Amino acid sequence: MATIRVALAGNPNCGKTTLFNALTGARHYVGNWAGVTVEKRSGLYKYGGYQFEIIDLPGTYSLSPNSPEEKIARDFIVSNQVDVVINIVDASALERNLYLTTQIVETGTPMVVALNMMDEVERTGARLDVQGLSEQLGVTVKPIVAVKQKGLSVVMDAVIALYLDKTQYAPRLPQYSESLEGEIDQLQEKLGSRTKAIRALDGDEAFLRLNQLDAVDISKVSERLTGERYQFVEQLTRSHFFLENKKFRVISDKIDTLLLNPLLGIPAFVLVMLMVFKLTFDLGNIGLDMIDVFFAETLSGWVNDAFVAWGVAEWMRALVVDAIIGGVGGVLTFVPNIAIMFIALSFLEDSGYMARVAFIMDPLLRKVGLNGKSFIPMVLGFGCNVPAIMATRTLDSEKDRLLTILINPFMSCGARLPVYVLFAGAFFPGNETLVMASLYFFGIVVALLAALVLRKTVLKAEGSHFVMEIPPYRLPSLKSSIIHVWERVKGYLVKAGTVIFAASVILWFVMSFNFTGMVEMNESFGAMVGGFIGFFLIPMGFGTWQAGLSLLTGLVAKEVVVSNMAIAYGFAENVDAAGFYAKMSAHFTPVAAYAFLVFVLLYTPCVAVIGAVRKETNSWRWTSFSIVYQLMVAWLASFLVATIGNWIF
Amino acid sequence: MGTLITAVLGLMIGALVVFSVGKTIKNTKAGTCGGCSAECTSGTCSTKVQLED
Repeated sequence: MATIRVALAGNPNCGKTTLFNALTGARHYVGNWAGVTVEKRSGLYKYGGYQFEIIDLPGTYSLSPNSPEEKIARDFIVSNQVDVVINIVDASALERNLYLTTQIVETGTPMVVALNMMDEVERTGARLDVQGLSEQLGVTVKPIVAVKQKGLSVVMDAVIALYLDKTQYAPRLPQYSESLEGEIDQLQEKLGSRTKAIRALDGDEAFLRLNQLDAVDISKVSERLTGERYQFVEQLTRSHFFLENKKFRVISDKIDTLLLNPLLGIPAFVLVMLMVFKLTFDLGNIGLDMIDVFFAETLSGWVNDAFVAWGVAEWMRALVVDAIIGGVGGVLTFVPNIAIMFIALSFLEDSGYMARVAFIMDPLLRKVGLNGKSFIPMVLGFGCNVPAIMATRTLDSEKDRLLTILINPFMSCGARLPVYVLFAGAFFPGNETLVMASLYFFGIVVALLAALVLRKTVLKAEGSHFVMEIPPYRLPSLKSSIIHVWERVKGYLVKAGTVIFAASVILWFVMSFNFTGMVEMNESFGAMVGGFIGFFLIPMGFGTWQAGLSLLTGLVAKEVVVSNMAIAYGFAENVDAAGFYAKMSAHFTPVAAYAFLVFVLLYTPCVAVIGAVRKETNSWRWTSFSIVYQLMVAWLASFLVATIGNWIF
Repeated sequence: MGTLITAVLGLMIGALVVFSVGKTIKNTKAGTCGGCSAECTSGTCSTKVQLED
């Protein structure tokens, strides 16, 4: 079976990953904002007697490489590694998308244009002359709706036809002004082909160096080429795209006057997030209670009785019931909260709201030396800091990128949520939403302050500019949301069954033994190590060995803090708020509990994040710096909260 | 009976602990999100799985 290599190329947020997922059955992350894909990735697809290797390229507005992911896309398209390019064009933003189309046409790489989101075009009352556009470009243009998997086979048929007979590919190249064509001809003579001349004019630095061309001379002609290309694209759009109903745009604009308002935008964001936390706590706790009963009563009781009846060793019974069921079950209890939070966040992202939040945060971020583009990795950090740190690759400036990596761990990831839910429910009944929201916002504020300090000290530089396209409002796809949330919950379950399982077992041993054998917890290895760390936590009011050991083991994964508490305080039998409070009130005051949550929020998230920081900065120095300064910030903030809290209450 | 069950459980738990610790170390070294609960925006981990499939 012949394999056809197909690259998916297009502007950011035009639906490339949606098409990639639809074709390959993959479940890559899809978001309604630019810059979700930062590396190329590939998958296999069989159709029409052929095997396709589908390569999903990062989104680019042009082939003039400005950032790492744009360079990846450009290099791939021009390097003849691909049989056919499918250029996905967001039909609802035709003019902006056709600039890249024109550039791909000029590379000579065989291309089929997939006009995506045709349903949106129809919904907004616009009309698109697909046939006319195809004729004027001289390439096959097919309408699709990737999210509903409409029109995909038609596009793949066109790809096969083009692969079988590349001689049929006869695109109509844009004709520029006489003087510009003269410049292109001169370069063409020197380099051997028009394609190479255009590549040089598009500012491919490596290509310019290879051919010993002067970048300054070239840039003057490049600017004219860009200008004339835009004129060509504008004319192309005017000829084939007709907006017949402006009412839809008016509604969208009206919503934006509120959400993008400099004064109302941020309070609206706060309100939206409060609703998210309210849902997370109130709805999540319905499921939490049921799961808690299952682990704490049904399963624990059954296993306990069975082990006694079978004559299983006492220590093994304690290991399974207290450590595994108590520790892992204690974490699994929070699955409903995690699921509800991510359903809500997925809805906000897919609807296009989060991209608007990045826009309204831009002035605030600019004051601390960043820009709105950094806010996207920051929001992704609400899920997990690891992919969020990887997402900083979309930032053009190295210093902006490093700064965003260093502040990202302050964004509260999903793994910290179980700790908040547990403590907020026990120590602040009736105010759980406020407590959780205050921690998330506290994380954002600390991140901004840290950015400000780092920008003025170790990472001095001018902040770069932020140009971002506001995506249209979209009704989130149910399938996409379910996949998103399922991936999250599945990951959480896998983590509970592996990392948290192992941590719970090791913790149980550490908390049950010392050099003399099995002992009381207070005399165990865990108590010794935790006691040493606890010494440094005394000023905050939670200087116990249990808290010290919890924070240490939380470095493996934040959920382990909950497992640790479950084992150390022996609440495997009852993890609900009242039961937890009964056990914990002797060790924590409400102020100390909040200061503990602040520490959990701000200190080094976990080993996976440390690995990601190391990988993305390629520096042990910055990785060590990141660990140390986050610990210092956590201690200081927690100390201030405890001191001020004790003073007020 | 009790000793046998204890031994079997001990072996199973030990094997799973060793596997999980190894996986965590591997993911941390690779700097990937395979060790956490995230969907990966870069697709690094899932791409590898995809290609191996």
